[in-house]
Amino acid sequence: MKVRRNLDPREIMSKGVGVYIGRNEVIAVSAIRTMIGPQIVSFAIEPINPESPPEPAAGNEPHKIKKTSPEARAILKALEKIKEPGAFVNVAVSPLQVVTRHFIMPVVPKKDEPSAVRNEASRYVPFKISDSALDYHAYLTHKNVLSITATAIRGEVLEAYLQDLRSVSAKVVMVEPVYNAVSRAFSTLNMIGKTKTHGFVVLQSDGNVNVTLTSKGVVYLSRDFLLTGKVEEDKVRFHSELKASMDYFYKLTGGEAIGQIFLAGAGDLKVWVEHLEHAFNYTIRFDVANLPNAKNLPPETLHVVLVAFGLALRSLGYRSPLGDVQLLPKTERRSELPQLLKFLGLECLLIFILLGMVRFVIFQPYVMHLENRNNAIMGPADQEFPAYASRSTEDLMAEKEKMGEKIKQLSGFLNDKVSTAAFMMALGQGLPQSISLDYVSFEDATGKEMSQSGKRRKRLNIKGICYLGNAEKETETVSAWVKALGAKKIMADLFAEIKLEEIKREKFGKRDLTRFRVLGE
Amino acid sequence: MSIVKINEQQKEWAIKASAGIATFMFCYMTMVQPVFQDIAVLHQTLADSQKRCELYREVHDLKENLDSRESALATLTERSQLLGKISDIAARTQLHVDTLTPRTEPDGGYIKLRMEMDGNGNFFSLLKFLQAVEKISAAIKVKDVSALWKPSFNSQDKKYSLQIQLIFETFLKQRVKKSNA
Repeated sequence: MKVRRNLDPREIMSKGVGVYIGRNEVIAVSAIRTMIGPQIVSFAIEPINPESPPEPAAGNEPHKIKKTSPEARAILKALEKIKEPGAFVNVAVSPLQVVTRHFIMPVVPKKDEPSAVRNEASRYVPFKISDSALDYHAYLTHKNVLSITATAIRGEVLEAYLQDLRSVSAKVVMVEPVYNAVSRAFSTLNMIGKTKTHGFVVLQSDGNVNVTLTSKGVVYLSRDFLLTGKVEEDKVRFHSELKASMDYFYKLTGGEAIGQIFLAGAGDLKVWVEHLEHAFNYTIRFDVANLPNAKNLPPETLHVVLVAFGLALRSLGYRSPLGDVQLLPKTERRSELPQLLKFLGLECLLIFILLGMVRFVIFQPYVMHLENRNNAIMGPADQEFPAYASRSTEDLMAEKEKMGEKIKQLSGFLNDKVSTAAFMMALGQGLPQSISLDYVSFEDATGKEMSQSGKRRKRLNIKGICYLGNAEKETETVSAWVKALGAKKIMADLFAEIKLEEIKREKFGKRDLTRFRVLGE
Repeated sequence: MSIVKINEQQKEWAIKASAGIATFMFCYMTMVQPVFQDIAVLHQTLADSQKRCELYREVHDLKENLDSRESALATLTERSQLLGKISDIAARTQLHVDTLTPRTEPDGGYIKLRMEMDGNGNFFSLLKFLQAVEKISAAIKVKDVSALWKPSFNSQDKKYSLQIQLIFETFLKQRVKKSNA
């Protein structure tokens, strides 16, 4: 049971997938938004067969066979038939699993409203509210009175459905009640308006009938009853249950009567429409869905897949006139791929911009500052010394070292220089006439050896005679001269000590004279 | 054993956080990390530039210092002129030169010229000779000098009564450097 239409790609604006999980079957529909309105691309109705053998879960290797439930297998087959395995899906479950209650309560501060509604709802919902997923719509009807429509599903039931869906790689966007999907489908087909009072009746293949009665977008009643399968008995029961529901609705709304009821679901709806219109004496209009552009889709099939179609429409951006109830807890909601990619793209862009700013606003100016400082140092230096600019640092270092050695060598040579003329002049000045010098030598004593003071050691060697005819006077004269010589500045600079090394009497011809030797070191 | 249940929102946040961390790491490695290397290189370049700048000045100052010191030195080719000048001075100061022996040997970056001179004269001629030689160049150094008196009664010989031995030393530049200036 599958319909596929060839569509112009330019007509496709987006795609939505809806999955309805009933008690007997799973219905999946993929729909797209086109220029002429939403269209069903494909659908599949897959019975839930508890006895069918388990199959490998989608995307898993053959040896890793998961134990999947019959519902999961049916979901997988349905999604595969519409060629949407692993799609983002909106889901509704059998109305028997969902409870919707309307009640009124005093206005409370907005921040306290959720907890107050949960507390109040616990009085009406027949299971533990703390273990349930609950969503509600609140309307201010009278002064200080809130009209609340709360919809809840047991947590463990919801968890089981989510496990079934996720075990076959379906990505659940939202879970909502059946009446939401049906009302969205009829609204999208332009069959209802917001200001009227409406009823939505959905017949399940298992005999369950869900009746939802609304006024001005507020759900006042949503209940279920079962048909037995016996036509005549069911006709009576259908009428009586519907009438009882409308009477209750009449009381709840303070006198509003249902003017139009929409039928959807399994079975021969035309027969039910004729019967009910007749039973209600044609005071209420009964309508079924009509999709004019789906010529290949039989009306009976459209009625069956209408819930799933309404779910698929949610992803296409169509809103339900009864408000979009969200039974999937926030922590279990999964963003659609485009949204997630958009977030990731923005996240990456922001990080890129942030680090780009760090790079170009903080570090780049610092890098430029360092470059400018370097240019400020080297620019003038290269201009001042252009000959060095092209030479390597190692080359300059080698030249510096070479020049340093040369300067040291020249300094050592020139600093050690003594004016020999000045020395000889100092030697000659003040020489007593009684003294005659035979030998004078002034030389470097140790060649290249250096003294501890860093100067070359000089040596002075003088030999001479003194004649005065008196040995004592001669000795005194020589000693005085040696002493005076050593006191001269140039001698004191050159020699640490000038001493009379040897003095003796000697006969020269018939005369006695004094011979001496002076050493300076 | 309890199993920690991770809900869809936590999974999404994990994906978003992972993507964010991966993007941050990638952007950091490609955009920010290279800057640290650039900055380190620039700091090193800056330090090198300062050292190089100081090196320019040091080399320049040393060059000027060396040039001023070497200006007093003769070149190897001027060796014979130097010997001629010394001979001229000896003749002018009445110092009789018996031998004047030059000897060269490499010494560091220069050539050392050692001149050994034997001659005769008197004290005053020796004094004048030494004064004149020292005026030729500041780089000529009298290393050793010795004078031995030889008594003589001949008036002509009295002019040369001192037997003199002198050793001069100086450094010669190996060649004249070409100057761009």
